[in-house]
Amino acid sequence: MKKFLSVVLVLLLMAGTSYGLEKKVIKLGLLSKLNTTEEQFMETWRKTFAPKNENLEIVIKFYDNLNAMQMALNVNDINEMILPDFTADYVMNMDKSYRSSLVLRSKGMGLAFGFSAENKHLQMQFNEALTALISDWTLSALEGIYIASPGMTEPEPIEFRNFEGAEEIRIAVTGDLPPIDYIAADGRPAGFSTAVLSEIGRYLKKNIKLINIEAGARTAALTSGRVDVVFWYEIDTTKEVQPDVPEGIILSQPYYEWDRFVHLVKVRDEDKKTKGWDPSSWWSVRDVINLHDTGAQ
Amino acid sequence: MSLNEILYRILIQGGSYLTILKGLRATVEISVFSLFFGTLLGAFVCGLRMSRLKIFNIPAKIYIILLRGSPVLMLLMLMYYGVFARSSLEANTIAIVTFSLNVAAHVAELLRASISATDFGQVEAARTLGFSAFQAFRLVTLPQVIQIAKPVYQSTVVNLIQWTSVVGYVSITDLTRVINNIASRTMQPMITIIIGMLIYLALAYVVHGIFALTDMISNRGKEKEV
Repeated sequence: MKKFLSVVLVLLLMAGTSYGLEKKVIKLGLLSKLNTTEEQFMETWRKTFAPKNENLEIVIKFYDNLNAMQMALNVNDINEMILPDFTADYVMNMDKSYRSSLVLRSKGMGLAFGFSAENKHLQMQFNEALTALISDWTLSALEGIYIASPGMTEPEPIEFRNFEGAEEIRIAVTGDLPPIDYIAADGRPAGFSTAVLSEIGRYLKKNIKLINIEAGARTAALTSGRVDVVFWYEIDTTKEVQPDVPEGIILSQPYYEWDRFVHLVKVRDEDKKTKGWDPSSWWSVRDVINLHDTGAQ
Repeated sequence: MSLNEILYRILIQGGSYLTILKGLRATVEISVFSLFFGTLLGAFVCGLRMSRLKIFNIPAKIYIILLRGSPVLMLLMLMYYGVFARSSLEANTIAIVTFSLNVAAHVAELLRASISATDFGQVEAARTLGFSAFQAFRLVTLPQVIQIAKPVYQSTVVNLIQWTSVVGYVSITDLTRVINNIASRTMQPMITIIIGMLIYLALAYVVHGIFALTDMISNRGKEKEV
């Protein structure tokens, strides 16, 4: 009997110890950065958002495009995908099985056009055009059309105006960041960025040529001179130096700014029954808003 | 959303099927031209590789090792964003050049292996009977080489079609790129990618069918001769 009790005690101790040591791993998906590795990003992430629970380990995984990240979420390779609010809204509007679990506020996020460092002249022209488009409210109007209700409607792709004999600006688009940058059903680039570019072309009286490439090849396309401009470089407008922008690339002023990142989860029937959703308990973050509390989708 | 609605959004809405066909055309065009030029270049490289002169066979060996050992995406990006960055060549042309170079290395090795597998004694016998070197090659060696090389060549063709799926990195909108674009727009990656895979599978079966047809024709020819 003593032996039996000892064995049970040892087993219980072992189970308890291993249970205590076992860390829960939360895997978060993000779109690949241009110049930052997963490890570097995780380091910064840990400093900003510390997990509440010591037994919680956060793993960041990068994906080259939204499709790959969605599929990773579908097969539980990641627990959540983190997207800028406009793309998250687009995803949720298009597919009702995605829900926001958490919203993180981060001041001063922006999208900017990228140029080769040798092309300062074009950068200045774009900045001048953007300043004019901001002051006459053109950019605000375009935000209303493309970003206010993303995914609910699909605005027709823009017809670019042709300026006879004018210089042509070649711009790389990826189609990987709806509703800012996507490819319409007829194969033409569409979205907020193309509308902004159309206005810039009109302002500068230059022809715009859009070239569809993979997101991962943006920097190579720019530095090799294959394209003159790349759109959607994600920047932090509060910083002087952009850590994620590779050397040899210069940026325009931001043409769109936002301050929320949304954690998206895939809601499955079995999850609804057994787990429930309270991911906010995972984090002690500086500024968290739960969308469900505020009534927003 | 029902499956029918999803399929409608992916395949029909806004003329999506036309975009898919355009992508398919780009994939087929690049594959066919690369195969044609790659096979010609491969036969030439094979000739150099089998030469007894070191001045020919060493460069051919190096070419085969380099091209077979390097990932085709790296080669494509090197050609497009490096070697031909300042040229006015179209992206499609650069892709065809790149894939032709890659296919040539594989075809060269494939032909060399097939030629080595034939019995040299048969050529000697043909020469003894008065055949010229060219006649002996055309009438004795070549038919056997074709038979030996055919199954592996068929795999090379199917592989080539699959390799072309990386051309999106050099601004070509091929079938894979179109499928990715549709998946991003509709937010239905799983179904869209399955559709894309089925189209690639269909292409592989077309290749298989063409090879089966050539087998059938050659068998009928033999039967008539008999």
